[in-house]
Amino acid sequence: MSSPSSLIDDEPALVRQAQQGDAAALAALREHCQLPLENILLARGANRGEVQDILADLWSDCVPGHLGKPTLLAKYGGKFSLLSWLARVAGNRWIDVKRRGAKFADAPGTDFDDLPGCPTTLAEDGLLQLLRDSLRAAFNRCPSEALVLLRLVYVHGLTQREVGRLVGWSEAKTSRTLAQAMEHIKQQTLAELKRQDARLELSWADFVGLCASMESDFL
Amino acid sequence: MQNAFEILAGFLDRSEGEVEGRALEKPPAAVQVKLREFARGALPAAEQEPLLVQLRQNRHWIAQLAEEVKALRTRSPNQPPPPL
Repeated sequence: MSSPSSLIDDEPALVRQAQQGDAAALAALREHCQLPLENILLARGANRGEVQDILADLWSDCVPGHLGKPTLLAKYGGKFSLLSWLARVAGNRWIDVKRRGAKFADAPGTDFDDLPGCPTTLAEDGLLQLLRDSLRAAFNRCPSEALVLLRLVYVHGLTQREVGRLVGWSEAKTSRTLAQAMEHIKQQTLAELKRQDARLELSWADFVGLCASMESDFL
Repeated sequence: MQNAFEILAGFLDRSEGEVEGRALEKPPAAVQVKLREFARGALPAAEQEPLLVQLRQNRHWIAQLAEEVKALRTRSPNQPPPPL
């Protein structure tokens, strides 16, 4: 089973270099992440102008010493892929823009940067619900046998041989069934995600990465 | 790094507000007997599906099943299990 994947093999090294102010490393990360980030924001309903503004601000916040603020990348802990993390930051900023824009639409001339941000918890409610509903629908369609065996192996640390013995299966059949169940969950989740928001273009790695980032907030 | 299923299951459990205290709730004695038989691979096939449905609905019982299986790693097959 794959973990949330990175777009580039040497991503951790590049991030470390970028955190230390290496402009070439930051440029390499930007080159790899820019287009997927644009697509993610466009899929969530941002227009081209908003996408360019949000991503320009995001990348400038990654430059050490910019306006005397700590670099945005300093907050990245490497628990999941950089793209997933940046997608979440960019998504939150876009939601923030929309909410601030709607609230202050009747106040022309107000400097955008002076407008208050919205609480993070509010900004994430919609995304959290979308991820949860899609995943729950996929889990609900998974047979009890496969779901319980997946939990025994991947949450509670039993071997596939041990869980196979419970139900009288060979290790090969157990392995095949668990892999098929995981693939089924993946396909059902992405299909449900698409059904709920046809504009959303998330890869499986992005989806898992977002769930990981959301879960870390619960802890 | 966590595996994908662990991340997804953890996300779903926590976003659905699983109460941690539930992990302390033990299954009824009859279910515990079936869990122990299941852990030994001795539960008849016809009784497995109803138990799996119960486990799905009470996912904190799955941890107990896992502990039963892990206990067998160090216990000889002829050694009697500890009392329920």
